[in-house]
Amino acid sequence: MRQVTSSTLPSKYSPLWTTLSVLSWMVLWLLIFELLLYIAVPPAPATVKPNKIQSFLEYGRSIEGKMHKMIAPTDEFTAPIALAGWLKPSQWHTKPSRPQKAEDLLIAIYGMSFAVHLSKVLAKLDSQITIRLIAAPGVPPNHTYTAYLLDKQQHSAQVVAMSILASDVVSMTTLTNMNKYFEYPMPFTYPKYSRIENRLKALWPKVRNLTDLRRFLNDKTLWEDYILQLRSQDSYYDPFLFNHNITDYVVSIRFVRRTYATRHARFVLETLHGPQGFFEHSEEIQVLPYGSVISKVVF
Amino acid sequence: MNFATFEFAVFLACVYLPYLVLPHRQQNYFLLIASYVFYGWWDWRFLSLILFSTAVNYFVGIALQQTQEVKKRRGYLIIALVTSLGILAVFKYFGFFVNSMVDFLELFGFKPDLLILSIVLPVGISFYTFQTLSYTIDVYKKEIQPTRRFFDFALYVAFFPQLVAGPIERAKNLLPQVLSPRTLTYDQFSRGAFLILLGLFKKIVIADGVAGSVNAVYAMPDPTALDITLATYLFALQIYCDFSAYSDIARGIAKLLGFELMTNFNLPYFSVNPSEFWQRWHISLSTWLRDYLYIPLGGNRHGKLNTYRNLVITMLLGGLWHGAAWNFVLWGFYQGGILCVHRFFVGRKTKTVSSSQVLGFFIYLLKVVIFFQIVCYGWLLFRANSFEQIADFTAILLFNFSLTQGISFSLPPIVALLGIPILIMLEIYQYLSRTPNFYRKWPLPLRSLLYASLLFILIAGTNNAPSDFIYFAV
Repeated sequence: MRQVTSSTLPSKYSPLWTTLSVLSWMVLWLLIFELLLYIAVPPAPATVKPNKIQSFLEYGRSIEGKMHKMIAPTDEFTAPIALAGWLKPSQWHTKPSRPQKAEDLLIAIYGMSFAVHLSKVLAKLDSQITIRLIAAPGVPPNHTYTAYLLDKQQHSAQVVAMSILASDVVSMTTLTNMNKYFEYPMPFTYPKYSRIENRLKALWPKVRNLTDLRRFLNDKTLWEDYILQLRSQDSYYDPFLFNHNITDYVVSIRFVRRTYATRHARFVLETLHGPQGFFEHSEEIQVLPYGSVISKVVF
Repeated sequence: MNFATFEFAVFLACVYLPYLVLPHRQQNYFLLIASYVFYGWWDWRFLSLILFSTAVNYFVGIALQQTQEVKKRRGYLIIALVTSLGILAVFKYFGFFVNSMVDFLELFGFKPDLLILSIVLPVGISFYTFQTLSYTIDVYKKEIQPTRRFFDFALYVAFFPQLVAGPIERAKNLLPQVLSPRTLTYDQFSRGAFLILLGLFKKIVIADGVAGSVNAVYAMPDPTALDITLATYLFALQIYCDFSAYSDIARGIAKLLGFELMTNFNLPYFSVNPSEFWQRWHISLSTWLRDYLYIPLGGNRHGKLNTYRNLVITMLLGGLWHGAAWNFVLWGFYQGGILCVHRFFVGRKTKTVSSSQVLGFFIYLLKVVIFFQIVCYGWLLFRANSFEQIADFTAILLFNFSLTQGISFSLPPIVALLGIPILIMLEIYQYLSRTPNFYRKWPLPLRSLLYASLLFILIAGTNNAPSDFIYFAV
């Protein structure tokens, strides 16, 4: 192969010089795009619903960066999504603990959005049913099960329903909904279970409530401690997706991070789930009751 | 291996750097191995087919050179045709014809128990079959000399940038480039890099971006006329951006390697009639069909009726080449039909209108818009999932069209909606400047602005759900 030369369109500059000039100009234009976008579409405050373009530009911000944006010292200025899903039994006292009439039926329902749909349909179907609903967005079975354990002494329900979404089973190896839901991280936490000698053992996250999270976010040592725990226990944790740094201010790198998050999620899923369903030896299926049934679920 | 993946980027880097430092002969061996790795990535068993097809056509080429006896030469040609088309028939059309026969017999109350095989369609089989056939036919017609270098011929057949979705290269163009040492110029390098960037932009930002909306409408049980219209316009964009992107990337990679592949798309949606459309759309296939099917059938040499017959047969087979399904046959018939209608009313001469005349330009624009509707109805036939869907959608479009119905599908993502006008502007500029290299005349800052814009939107679009190139299934 002969040397690279300029031929059909002769230029007074060498190929190397032209290439470097083009690259320099491209970098300059990319910086101008960044600046223009920052001026034209500033990020929305945490408590205000962003418009579509704002959301599009923000999806790729690091999880840590999003946390800093979402979590304010008071609930009033904290993003509503950050308030949801915490396992806090003291907040559940307002929910019915017995049926409205003695002869009625109380059903306790735990789970995610499908649990909400279920409760609405049940209440519509039969006026003699009273619902005690404890649900949060996209929660995995370990959140659902823990909610049931924490709540079971507080009501007299004859029937308990726990809703499990197959696509959330993969989150059973996580401690929080921050890492799996990269675009809309939900910081609430829950324990991770493992089966030891046929008994379930819970590993609790270091952050148990929003107050903890605020404290951890403002204390470098505590926060690093929490990250260490996520790194070792949360299958969706990835430092490129999690760590807040200067790249959070660059829109094009946020785009790259968003794409990487999609690939990463697919990669994690492929370690747990294949074309035939969940891998039977996977941690999730070992832990779940009726795991062998759930292992056949394909999505 | 899909061009628009991280895996392919790694593969290309691994191939390109050693390639640059190797001498010519080693470059060819290395490219051949790389091409087989690229192809075997889908399924290594497919390699046996391409090797067999290569060997048969190589030896037939040599045999054709060694004899001048017409009967023997015809016999050799038949061997190559039967082998190449036989492989294509078995692997691509066997199941289709058996299933069609079963359906047909069932209409008359028979319950046939015919052999049904589940054969996986080897990717790119239609492309490399046509490529090898063009070589053998050209040798038979003594238009080219056969090569005695088996590995070079194998590289001509399996050259990885264009192996699975074209352009379908003629031996007279590609083979000499394989046989002779190649030179990489800076202009080739920069143009190649731009073509790759443009191709990725078309595929990832636009084709993958609009695919979700198109799929949603074509899966709806009861779409509105506006849904169908918009989804079909989007499909016109999708298939153009998907297919021309593959050609752009293939040509770009080939340029980086010092090869020149033929232009496969030349602003097809600027056509004002079907004849012009087929001179601009999938040029390597349309010229192949013209040279190896339409002209041998008689072309336009035996009167009007025979010309119409030849046009319809050529386009029917062209339609079937696109896929083993009746809607492709119908699409081919439709294309043949509109070519005949155009020929009947207009003849072969296309009046060119100067874009400098304002009125002439508006008339031209009107023709483009009208003909685009005709093309789009063809895409409806192409994209539909069944004959029932074609009938339903056509009935809705004809008898239930209303602009007030609204749309019931999600629009493509923002980045695709941003990319579409950019592509349209680029194509208009290319059309007006009459050169695909229009941007190279721009001052460097402006040229860099174009590169930076495409790159920025491409990065934004990388999160679009990736899909295989549509023509991988051909």
